[in-house]
Amino acid sequence: MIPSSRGRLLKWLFHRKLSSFKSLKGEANENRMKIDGYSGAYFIVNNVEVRSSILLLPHTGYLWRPQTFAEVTPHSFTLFRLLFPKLDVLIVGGGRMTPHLSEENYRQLSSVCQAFELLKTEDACSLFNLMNEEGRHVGAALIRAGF
Amino acid sequence: MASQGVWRTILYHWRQPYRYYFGAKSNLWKQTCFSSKKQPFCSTSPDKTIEQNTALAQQKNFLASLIEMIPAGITAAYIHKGHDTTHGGGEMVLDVPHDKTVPVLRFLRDHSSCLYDCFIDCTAADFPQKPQRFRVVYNLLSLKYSSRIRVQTHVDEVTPIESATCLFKGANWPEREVWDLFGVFFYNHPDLRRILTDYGFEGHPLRKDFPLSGYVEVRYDDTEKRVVIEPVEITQEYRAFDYTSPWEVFPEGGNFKEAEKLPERV
Repeated sequence: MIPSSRGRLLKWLFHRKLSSFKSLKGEANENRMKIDGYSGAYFIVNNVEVRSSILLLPHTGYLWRPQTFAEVTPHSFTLFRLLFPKLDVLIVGGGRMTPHLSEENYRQLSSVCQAFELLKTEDACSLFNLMNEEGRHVGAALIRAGF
Repeated sequence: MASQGVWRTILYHWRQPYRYYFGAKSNLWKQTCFSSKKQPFCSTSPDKTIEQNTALAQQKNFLASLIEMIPAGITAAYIHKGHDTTHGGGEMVLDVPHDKTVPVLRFLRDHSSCLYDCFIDCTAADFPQKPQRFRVVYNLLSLKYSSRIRVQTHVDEVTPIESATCLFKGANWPEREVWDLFGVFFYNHPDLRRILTDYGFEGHPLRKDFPLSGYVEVRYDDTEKRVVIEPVEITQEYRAFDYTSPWEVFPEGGNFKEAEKLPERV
């Protein structure tokens, strides 16, 4: 769609689907990802309300395809596999209940990061905030708390 | 002046009842029982002799009554360290099946003759030679009857126990600690996650088969500019022990290269 005027251009830009969100100021300690709030149906990350599961890195965040923990496969964590250096801790928020991995999935997940934590989403959010503020290299894969 | 009256009334109300036990000299050496500090299932009576009214005997009576009242909940009941008569009684211990912990704890908390409503601790012990290797222990205190009791279960690594948090809010963190350090799972626990070990730590450290030095060590790597986790290698210099002398022998002049040579075998 070719915008015909400047106003239309801005409207088009702002209405694009948000699949990744980060601060435009660049990677610095002040604009780390922080989960300002959560509910059963959404997360509020750096004052942006996101109604989906999310993947969080120290300075960026992405929407995540699996909406419940049952939909999660080892393939879902490929983003973290691409990172260098490897994540210190990968925090997995399984939603309403603590997620449980089979042994094979456990081993595959160990290759993605140095250590991972399987928690309920409520605990995962606060743990991610804490560790990110400290400056550690952590990532989070969070399912919304109601699912 | 008024404060003196206040102190007197406070002391009057706080007074401890005079106990007519071993210290009291009585002409007839008969047991009189006016103590308001009752043992549970007050089994003291003026008709019984002094020996029968001791704390140990009361504890035995209490355990017997418990067994009568909740036979399905108790597999064994005994008194630990009961031989020590100077301390007047030992420690009461109840052995319960792993699926009956919460009913028994509820009985002990709520029954009017028990009233063990103060939760003291939840711990575990590992006996690897047994098939049910973990002994999970709950300690309770009755403030009304000033009595303590211990409730024990035996479980293996895979059997879960119902969490006591529905009865005692104070059981929250101790049960988390038992989960983190031993691996005993508590179902219906509101928040069962690690409490003492590092984030992402694998293993349950207080099990007997977990080595003292652990499996991994953590160090700061200068090239990667971050902390890395590696398998443990504890480096220690070779030390030669000279058993003829109580002190470790060092060469004079601080020449430690000599000390590093292997001693000749005799």
